[in-house]
Amino acid sequence: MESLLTLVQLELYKIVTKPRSFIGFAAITAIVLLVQFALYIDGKTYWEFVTQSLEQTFTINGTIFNGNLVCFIILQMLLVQMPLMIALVTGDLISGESATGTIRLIATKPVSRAQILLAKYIAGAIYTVLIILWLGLIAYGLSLLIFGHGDLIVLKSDGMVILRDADVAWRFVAAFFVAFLSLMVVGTFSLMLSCFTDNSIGPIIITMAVIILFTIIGTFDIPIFDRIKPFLFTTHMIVWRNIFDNPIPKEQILQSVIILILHIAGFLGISFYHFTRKDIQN
Amino acid sequence: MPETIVELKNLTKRYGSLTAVDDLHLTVSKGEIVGFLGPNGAGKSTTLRMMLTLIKPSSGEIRIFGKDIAKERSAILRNIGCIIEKPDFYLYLSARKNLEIFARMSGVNPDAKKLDEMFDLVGLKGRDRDQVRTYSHGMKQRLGIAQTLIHDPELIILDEPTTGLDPQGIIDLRYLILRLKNEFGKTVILSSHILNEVQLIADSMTIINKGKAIVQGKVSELLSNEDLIVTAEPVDAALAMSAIDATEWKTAFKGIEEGKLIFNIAKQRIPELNDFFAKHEVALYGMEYRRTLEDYFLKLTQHAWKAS
Repeated sequence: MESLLTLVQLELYKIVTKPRSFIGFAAITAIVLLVQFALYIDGKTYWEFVTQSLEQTFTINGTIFNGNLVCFIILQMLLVQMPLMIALVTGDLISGESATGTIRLIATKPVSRAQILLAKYIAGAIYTVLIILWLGLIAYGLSLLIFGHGDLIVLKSDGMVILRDADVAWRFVAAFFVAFLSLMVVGTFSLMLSCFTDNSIGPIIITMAVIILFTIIGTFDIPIFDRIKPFLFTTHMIVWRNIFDNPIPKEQILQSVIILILHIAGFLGISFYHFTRKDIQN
Repeated sequence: MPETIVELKNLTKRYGSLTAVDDLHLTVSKGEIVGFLGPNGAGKSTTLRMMLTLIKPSSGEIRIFGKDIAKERSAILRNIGCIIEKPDFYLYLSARKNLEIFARMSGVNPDAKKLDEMFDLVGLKGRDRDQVRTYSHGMKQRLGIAQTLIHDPELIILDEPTTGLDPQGIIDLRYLILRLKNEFGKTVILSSHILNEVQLIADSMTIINKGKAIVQGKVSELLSNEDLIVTAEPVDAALAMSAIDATEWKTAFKGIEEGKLIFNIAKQRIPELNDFFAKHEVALYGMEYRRTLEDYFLKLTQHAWKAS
């Protein structure tokens, strides 16, 4: 246990001293600030345009263009891009060591390969938590600070949901938790690929290619794709949106959460199986 | 009888139909420098990697410090320091931080004094806070040595440690390896494809080719001056041949290659042979000698080079 803690500390140190680890934080900050700036300047016009069809049916009063709505818009946009930022770090955890040759040194140290992988995985998970927390801080906290509080109007393809301001905060917390699980699936997937290759670009590109492919399959309403969709992790990664439904489809969310956790367990199992047995040749 | 540190029995590694290491036996005694020699692709690195659990053997047994590596991996590796192939580090970190990371992975937490001592020992004092990306290959090799020693291991394994070093770097490293044995009492396994490099510092050596150990023994015995290949290049080969005919040199004469007469004699008989040719008015362009093992190893490496 003590050696595992030491390994996690060392892995975290390696992550924070690598410039690429800050690309995610920088990108999130830049995108969020850009969206907030644009919405601050033109947000009301944009929202009037989006809701003009609704205004023919409803009378909308109050500050509907608020921090909650801005955060929701940002999450819709960003949760698609964030896997790349996670894969940049997790896809490099093992293959990066193989590419630089340091894998030879660490694998000859008196710690088991399972401990090495577990330490890297824990460090990757902590990194993902920090990314999510940072996103929460600037997308939710800063948006509330700039745009103020108010009820959240969520537009759906088949209508809209109005959530009271007091009923929104916990939903964002839950959404960030589901987003964390989704990102952990991506992180574990890229870590698994990382165990199979000796270069760090491969796992990152393959991870993104798989997400794009699965998302395309998920977008088309073709019968053969409909049969595949429930097994694709990307289908369940967007379940956080359902947390903003009223009533909340708890069973559907729970089912997706379980499927995401099963994906994590599966990818992690394959990673451990392969990494603890593979010959280190490079 | 010296204590046995490493014992390899029937060690074999197969990749499909290719046998990289074939039923290898090797014994290393405590406190000696062992040269592990062979041409490129002979199976040296594969053997060392199996000893360090980087590669799983297909069959056979590896016992280090009397323990089975398959069962007591951590306990064994805690007492081994190694450089495999080339010293690779985290380039974006300082040498000092790299050393600290690998020390902590080896189960020790060195204080500043210990780190200073290590950098002093390997001649990197004053450059320890620089990023490794600014280091030359020789400096990385020295850092690699510091990394092998930081946790005070009993056994040090160095795989081709002089690759890429300049002549001065090779001499420095040779001196450092000798210090490890003489001052610190370490046991060193040194792999190389250069016989001369090994014979200068090793106590014993094993030559491996195509995964098989071909020659094993003490360097002093294997490279004895009693069994030399002496070549003499006469101006007139026919005259030289007629001179040695019906003399005692006929038995030492092994043949003629590219106009050069080859003899198999002890070193102290070379002046005698020289006198013999002078007495029989056989003019020579020159004479040279090499040990039988050197000759054998040269042919081995030339063959491997041609094959590759």
